[in-house]
Amino acid sequence: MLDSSFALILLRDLRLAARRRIEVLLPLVFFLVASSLFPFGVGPEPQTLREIAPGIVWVCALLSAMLSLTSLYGGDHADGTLEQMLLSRRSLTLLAGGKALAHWLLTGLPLLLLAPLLGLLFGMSSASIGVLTLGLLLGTPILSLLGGIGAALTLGLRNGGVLVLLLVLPLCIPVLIFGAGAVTAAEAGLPVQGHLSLLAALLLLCLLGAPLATAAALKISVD
Amino acid sequence: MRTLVGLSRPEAGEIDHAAATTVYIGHSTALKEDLSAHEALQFLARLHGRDHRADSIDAALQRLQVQQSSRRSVRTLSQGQRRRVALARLALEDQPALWVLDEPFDALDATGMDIVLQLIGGHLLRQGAVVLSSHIPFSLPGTPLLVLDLDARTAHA
Repeated sequence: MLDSSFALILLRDLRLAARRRIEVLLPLVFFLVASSLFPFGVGPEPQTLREIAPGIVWVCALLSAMLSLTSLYGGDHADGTLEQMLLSRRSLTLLAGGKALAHWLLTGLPLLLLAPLLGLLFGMSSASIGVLTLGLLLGTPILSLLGGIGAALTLGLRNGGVLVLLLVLPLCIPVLIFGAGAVTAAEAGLPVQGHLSLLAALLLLCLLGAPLATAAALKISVD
Repeated sequence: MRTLVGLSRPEAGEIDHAAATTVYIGHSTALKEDLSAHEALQFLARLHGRDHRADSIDAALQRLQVQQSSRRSVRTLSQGQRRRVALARLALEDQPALWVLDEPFDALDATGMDIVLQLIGGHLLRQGAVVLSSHIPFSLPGTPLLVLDLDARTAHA
């Protein structure tokens, strides 16, 4: 179990993260600070805030997931670990999958725990908060998986950090639409199953395709 | 060298990688700064499916005489110590594979060089082959060396 390619990378990344706790906390702090800026900008009107809350939480979740993307493969690329991964006779797809899961556990999962708190802050109803969290549960892994492709493609480029945003953000628009849409529907008393099913379908698609695409992109980047 | 191990595609011709397992130690050491020397080496051994039991790793580090730094994080090691930890991977090898070493003697002192040359000698004895680049002259008594001088564009035994 420990020796499967997937678990090997996952455990190593989690161990590395445990040694750099501050770096792991930064995207979370960004998420909290960015979303709590909106009441200052938009005004403290409770009705308005409640209406735009799902969008705010989703956009901030998206941006905070993007923050840590450049370092996803950057460190391994710089110190030569990536070369060794490519040379080992292990499946690069599984390694990429392990990386994506580690990224999600470190950035996506904590957001799930924080989102209900922000929902309360914006005065959302408990039913909407439930839908928001469920949506994030399905949507944030997609961000990590798509982000992996972008991070792999932009490896070694000088402006990789900005480029990865430009590459990945447009791909994330469907996630944003269905994720925030589910909460808006819940607030209006409409069924949310459609939105969540589409999110789940996107997740399945990314689970199957993204690690393969990331592996291919890594091979190109190291060449 | 990167082409030889399959990291870069050759401009012309083909390289058959199925013929031999290769061990490549490049210019970058592939050691994670936040891990201890022991953990970093163990990860590489695990990644490549080599013997990664704690005592084997310790023995490999001891062979390169960096056992006293094995619990220190790679970040705190000097260039020479890092190079030794990276090269300790060679002490874990027991197959007649092809070793491709890019400047293995870089940042090593005379003792370090001797240890690496001993490892290379042992590897040649079990019918292994080594391709290495070096700007420091070295000798391996009793072994056939093929020297490619890239500046002079010559090859001689």
